[in-house]
Amino acid sequence: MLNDLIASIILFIGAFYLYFFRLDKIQIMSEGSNSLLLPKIILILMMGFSIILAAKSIIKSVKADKKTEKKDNQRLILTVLLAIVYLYGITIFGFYILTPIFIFLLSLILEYKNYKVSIIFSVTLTLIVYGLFTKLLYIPLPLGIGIFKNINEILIF
Amino acid sequence: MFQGLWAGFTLLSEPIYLFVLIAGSVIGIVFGAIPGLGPVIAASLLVPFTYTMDPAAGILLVAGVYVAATFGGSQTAILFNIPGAPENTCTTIDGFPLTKQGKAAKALGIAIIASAIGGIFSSIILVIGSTQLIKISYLFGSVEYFALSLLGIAIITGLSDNYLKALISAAVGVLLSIVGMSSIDGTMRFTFGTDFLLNGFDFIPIMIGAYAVGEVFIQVHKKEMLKPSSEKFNMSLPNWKEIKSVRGTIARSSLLGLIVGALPGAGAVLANYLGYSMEESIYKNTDKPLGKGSLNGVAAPEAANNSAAVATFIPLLALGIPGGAVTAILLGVFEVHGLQPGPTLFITSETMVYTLFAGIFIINLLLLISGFLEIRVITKLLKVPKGILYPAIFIFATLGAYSVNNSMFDVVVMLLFGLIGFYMKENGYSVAILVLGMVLGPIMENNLLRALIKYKSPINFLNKPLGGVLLGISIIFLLWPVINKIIRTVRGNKI
Repeated sequence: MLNDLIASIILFIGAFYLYFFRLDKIQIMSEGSNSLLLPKIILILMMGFSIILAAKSIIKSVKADKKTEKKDNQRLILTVLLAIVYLYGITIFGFYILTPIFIFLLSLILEYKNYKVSIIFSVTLTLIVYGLFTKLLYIPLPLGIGIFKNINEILIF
Repeated sequence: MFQGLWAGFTLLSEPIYLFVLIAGSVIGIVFGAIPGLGPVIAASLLVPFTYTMDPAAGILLVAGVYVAATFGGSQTAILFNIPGAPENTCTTIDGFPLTKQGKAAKALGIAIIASAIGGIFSSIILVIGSTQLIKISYLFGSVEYFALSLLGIAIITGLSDNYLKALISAAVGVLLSIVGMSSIDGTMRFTFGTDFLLNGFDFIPIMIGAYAVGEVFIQVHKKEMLKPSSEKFNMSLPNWKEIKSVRGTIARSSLLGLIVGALPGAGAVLANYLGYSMEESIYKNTDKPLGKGSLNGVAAPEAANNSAAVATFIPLLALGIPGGAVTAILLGVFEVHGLQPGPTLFITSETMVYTLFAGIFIINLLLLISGFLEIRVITKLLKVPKGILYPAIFIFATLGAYSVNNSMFDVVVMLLFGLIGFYMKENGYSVAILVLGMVLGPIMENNLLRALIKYKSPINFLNKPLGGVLLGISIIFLLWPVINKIIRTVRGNKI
């Protein structure tokens, strides 16, 4: 129920900020326009819903019957961090250098122990992506910057 | 109509279209069968591949995957008590007990037959219904389109398990759709001075993030994620007598699925539940009661969900209103190819529409063949280690988001909504409603503003009979949980 309370606070602050601090800064392009009508309705509704959600979560927390499901927070955090580093890193190191490394590291986080298969899979998947996206669909994937760009270009000749 | 259909079937005899249909059917069944993936993720990951295809092939691929994946999820529901997708939740109730009784292949066989018949039934009605609905669509003005898009959100919200969170999901979805330039008068809303948001959020990266990446995070978060399946199954198929015993169930569930699917916002998940509930109220056989391993308990939800999956194309094609998450993705594919679903599509791209009709019909026939052929393969696929599967999904999700505009901004949006989708799923919010809100938001707003320009006040909307009725129904659905509570309280007080 704590999650609901936090969500309701974030939702309320977000809607409040957009309604009272952003709406008046919007420049209306034509006189008599109703372009702000739906945003106003939705933001008011969101503030209302978040107050009800907060009230409900407080009431429920008193009589909460918490079911405990086993979760692995550490694995989740590592996965999210790796994903952030990977997506940021693509712009520097390029897609073809970083992708096999990312796949291998993620399979390690997911406790896949067959390292040989993991390495073969990470390289094969990158090659499949190269074939499908670069060669077949002509989608230019990020090649990174500086020397990494040169390496990526050599990799995809 | 028949000429158009004939042209559609003729076009489908070309190798490329046949390949697309077979590929769609196989990919759909595989994605549907792997728990946590399902039709929406399959469709969203395939979107970038449709960019370079011709419009009919691209649309057929996504449509085929959707129909096949809606069936595919029944396999894991029956074999492992794990529905591959929410569309197959009720299939577990009788499907898994049948597996425990050593009748897995019988249950799978009935699921294949029920799914195919449900889908074929709806494809026939799709052809007739869409063309008839086109005639009615000329009665639709801005008030009616506004009311219909509101109805789409109202149905799915009003019938949701968690009403308040469904309302919040819908509101956030509509708010996201508002970001960017207003198409009515060019007013910039919530762009925060950045060029990235001038055209608003592209909903495909959001969809891929919320569904595919969010699901990867959910599976990674589970402690018991890494256990592969090691079960073996009896593979004897259902006999003629058993098939005959479920024909009534298939017929009524297919009809129910058609009605539910044709309503915008309802879709195959609701049809699966309603199909099973209806069978519970009708089924009388005490020798094989429902819930203990009855073939009727498998046939009912499976016929209903596939019938509904096909029926969701009716409002999309005839009115341009997507009925659910996958038809929302399809709307995106149409738009990428410069096509706008709705009455004019039948004039501007008649052959393409009839090719799609013919394709959906053939995909359902293919389900009968590929379904039976794939049973053994699927059981092996379920043993693919998650340490291999999830990195692959993440990479394809990244590429799917990137290739929308060849922009890393979309990839960042995808990751952000992966986290939001994870939070939403873990805490009882509905990603499907958020996506539907985002897709229906612009249709709702544009028509509301046009109607206000024309009729000055919302009260005048009620002067339009069809619009008034649709608005009334929308409000009833939107407030249904509250109305239902009041009715129960009044009844309780009387007792």
